[in-house]
Amino acid sequence: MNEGSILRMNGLLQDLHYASRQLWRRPALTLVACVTLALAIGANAGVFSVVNALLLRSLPFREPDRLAVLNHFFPPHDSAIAFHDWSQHSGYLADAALFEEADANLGGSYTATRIHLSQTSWNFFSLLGTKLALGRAFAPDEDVDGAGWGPPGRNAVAVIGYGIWQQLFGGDPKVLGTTVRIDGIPLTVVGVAPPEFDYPDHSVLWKPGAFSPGNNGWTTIARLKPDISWNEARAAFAVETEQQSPNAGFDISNPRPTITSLRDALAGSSKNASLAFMGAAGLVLLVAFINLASLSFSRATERASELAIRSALGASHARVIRHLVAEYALICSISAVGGVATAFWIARLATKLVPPPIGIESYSILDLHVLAFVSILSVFVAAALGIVPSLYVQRFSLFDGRTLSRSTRAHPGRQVLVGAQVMLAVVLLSASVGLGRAFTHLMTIDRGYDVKALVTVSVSLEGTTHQINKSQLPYFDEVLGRISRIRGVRSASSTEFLPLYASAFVGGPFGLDGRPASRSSNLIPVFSGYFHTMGARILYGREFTEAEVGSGAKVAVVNDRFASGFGRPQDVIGRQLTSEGDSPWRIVGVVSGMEYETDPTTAGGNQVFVPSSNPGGFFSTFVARVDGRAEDYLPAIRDAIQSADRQVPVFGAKTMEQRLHDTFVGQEFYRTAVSSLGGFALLLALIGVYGTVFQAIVERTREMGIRIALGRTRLQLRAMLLSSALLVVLTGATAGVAGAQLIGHVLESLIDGARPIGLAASVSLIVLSIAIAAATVWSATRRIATLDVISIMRNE
Amino acid sequence: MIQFKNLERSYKSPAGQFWVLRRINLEIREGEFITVMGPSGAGKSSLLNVLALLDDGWEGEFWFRDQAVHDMKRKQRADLAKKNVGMVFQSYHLLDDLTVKENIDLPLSYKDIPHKRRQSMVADTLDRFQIVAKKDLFPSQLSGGQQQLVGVARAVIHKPALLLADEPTGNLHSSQAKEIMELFRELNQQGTTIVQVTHSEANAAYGSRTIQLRDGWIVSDTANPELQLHQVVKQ
Repeated sequence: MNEGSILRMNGLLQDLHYASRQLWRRPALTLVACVTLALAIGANAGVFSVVNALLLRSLPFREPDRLAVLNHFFPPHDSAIAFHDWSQHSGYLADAALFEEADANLGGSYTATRIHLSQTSWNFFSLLGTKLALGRAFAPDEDVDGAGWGPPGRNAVAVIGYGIWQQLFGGDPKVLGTTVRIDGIPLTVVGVAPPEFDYPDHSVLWKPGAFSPGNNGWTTIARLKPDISWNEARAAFAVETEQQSPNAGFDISNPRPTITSLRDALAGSSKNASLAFMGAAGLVLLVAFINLASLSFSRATERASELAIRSALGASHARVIRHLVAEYALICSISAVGGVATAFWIARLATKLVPPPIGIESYSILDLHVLAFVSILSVFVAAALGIVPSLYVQRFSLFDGRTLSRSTRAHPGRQVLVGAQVMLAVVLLSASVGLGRAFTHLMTIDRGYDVKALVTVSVSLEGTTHQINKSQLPYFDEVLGRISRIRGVRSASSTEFLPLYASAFVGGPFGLDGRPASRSSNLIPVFSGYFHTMGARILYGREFTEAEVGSGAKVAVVNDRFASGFGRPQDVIGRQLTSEGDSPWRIVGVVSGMEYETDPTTAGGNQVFVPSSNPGGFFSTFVARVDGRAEDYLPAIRDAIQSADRQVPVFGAKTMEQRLHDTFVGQEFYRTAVSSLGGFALLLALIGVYGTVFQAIVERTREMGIRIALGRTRLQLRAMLLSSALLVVLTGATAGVAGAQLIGHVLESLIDGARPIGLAASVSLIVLSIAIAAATVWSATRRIATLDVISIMRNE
Repeated sequence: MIQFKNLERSYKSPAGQFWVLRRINLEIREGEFITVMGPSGAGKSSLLNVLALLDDGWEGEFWFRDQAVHDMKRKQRADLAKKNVGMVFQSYHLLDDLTVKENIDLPLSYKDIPHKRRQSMVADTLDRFQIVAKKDLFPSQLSGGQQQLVGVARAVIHKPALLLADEPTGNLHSSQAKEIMELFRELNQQGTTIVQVTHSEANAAYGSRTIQLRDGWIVSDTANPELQLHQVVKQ
């Protein structure tokens, strides 16, 4: 290092040393500035960690930007040969693979567990370019033709996840060649996936698929040909889909096929939400920045004399700027550390509530992108806070206090800054109100059952002796008996489909006495006492008896939505529930609501309930109504179920309230996050209002003294300041409400359930802002009440 | 050393142009101790601002050791001031957040002087002004006289050719004022050219030449009796 560099370094360290001393002498101000900025930087870094994971970080696949997902598109898939033949002759795809996800029971020499797995075409791993940690991927002839998961044969092999390998096999390399049982079917382990590979959707086991006509559960992924651009691929895909389904009318039930990048498909709705949050966090940073900018202008004015002395003693303009920047560099450095801690907490929360689509996409703060983002943000804020005010510091004479600057530009109006703060705070608050109302509606909607004091636990009999011996009902009777004997359990029952889990429902075009209903109905097999246990209201008739369930009687309960489609609901009792190809059911009851859908836009569906005759085939869920807190019963009920047969996987032990919360956790996260950002922005804006009024009083002390001396009362002076401040707040809040309408529409398109606020809410927000600001301003003007007029006039 | 030729300074105000220095013709020679006097608003401080090269808004010619300051850019003027000018102020203008030692070191920190050499110069100055014991105190912990002593030490640490002093004893007790003025005399005897602004006849007595200002005009100069006559005749 040469002498010049050493001198510069010494100067820099000296500036930082003096800056730290100045900050230390103003601890309250320093603390507020650091906390403000730390929260703002932390919010931005936390949200950026999500954006980074979803949109920026490279996927753990070979050439990930060439990978595509073909949505709502079914290539030829009646047989493995047909699919691979289509793939190899594609004009725009280098390769394509299929996968189908499922939950299944993993058994063996260890306790049975429920896992998420995928059956795939043989080229799944090679298409992604994933190298296994151990063993091999599937061979070309290992995907076969067959129904369902296919008969055991060439495809009776599996690649297991790294986690399973570690947990169940202790990372033993001899795992290759051993057998695992999936729903009772033995599979030979041929490979182990690399660490953190869990695509698709957190799968932990992969097996070669079985192709059968009519199976539309497949998802198609593909790799574009090297010389094909995305636009060319989209055009070629459009031509292919048109050829496949000419003049197809697309709607919600039959969506238009699309080709999207795998990255976008993985990000899904989180992409838009995270970008929306990045914008919201950016607004908060802007509000915080405005506050600190206001502070820095005040500090620059306060330090004008000091800076003039430094200039007189030889400091160049650049050095003067460095003095100003040094203070904010320290504040920003401290804030950046605090910001990283805040971001870490936000990332953890986001991981818990809105987990990344694949394991490798963890919301990591210790990532080069995120750390660079925090650093650049901090440097930018420090530089802006230091440099901009220095442009407005007027040079004045140390000999007589006269201003020497050629340009006497005035400070940018603090009032404009405060107005902008209020506007941004109101925008964020209105967004949080919009999201909050949508969320409250979701949580409080009458679904026709009572979520309180309800315990739910799922089991699957797939591949168990109960299924093989067709003795499911005795098993369920046994379990229900054990649950009912637990002290505090008021009633217990079981269903094959639990409300809020509508995606896997079966159903069809049911009708009454052969007359079809106007819309399809969900078909839900349940046990006796189900409606009573769920707290549902039987409007007419009754629910099933134990005998009806035990004998598989052809009886049904319908919901009032279904029944009212045919006239008066009570009139359907005793009539025939019909479905083409099935013998009819006799309707014995009409139940209110029983909303199974989660999406409010598709809520209000028809539900048809029948006695459960083959429970646990996929999985079934026990429900128990208890006295007191449902959480307290979870261990006992789970143990009771497990004690009936330890080879049956028991999973999903949750209260119904937890399930409701889990279903809408994304919306709740968005609501909470935007509310927090809005509240924080409002707090900052109020600090800004307070600071501006306080500063105005300091600067106008002489004027105040004169006004009081000339007969103005102190109360009148406070009212004068209050009215001028509230005018700024009113202007900012009104502009904020206008901006909120715009942001509301943006949020509506980005986040499910978000709505712009209405007129009444807008007026309420303006009134609220003014009321809070009025209290803040009144508090700030207390100083006027204690002004010593004589001292002021004497000093002047 | 310094020559002003028809130097003028004015400010624009809503009421029109306001003149603070009018047609100043002045020559300051090396080693002089000049006292500038005059009532409030006469232009004394404006003259010091121009001499200190803090003000750029004047017109006319300004020569500093045969260098045409009027042709220099702001940075060149700042460099010239940094090397040659020291300043002492009535209200000391010490930085409250810096210790005595750090205040004295301040002018050096803006020059390309290695840290060790700076430390040595500061130590010498503390010793010379007999304020070693106060080096770690902050200005608020010093008396007015001690603060001005530090102010003078800071002004001369880089051995300026020209020392400007604005009412250096204005806020001091008479005994402290005497000490400071004796210090100025000593510095002047060691070769420093001094220009002081004062209302005090006692302080003026320490100088070798007195200039009177009125309404921006030089109305008398003890080194130029003809100027006084000329003004009298003019009036």
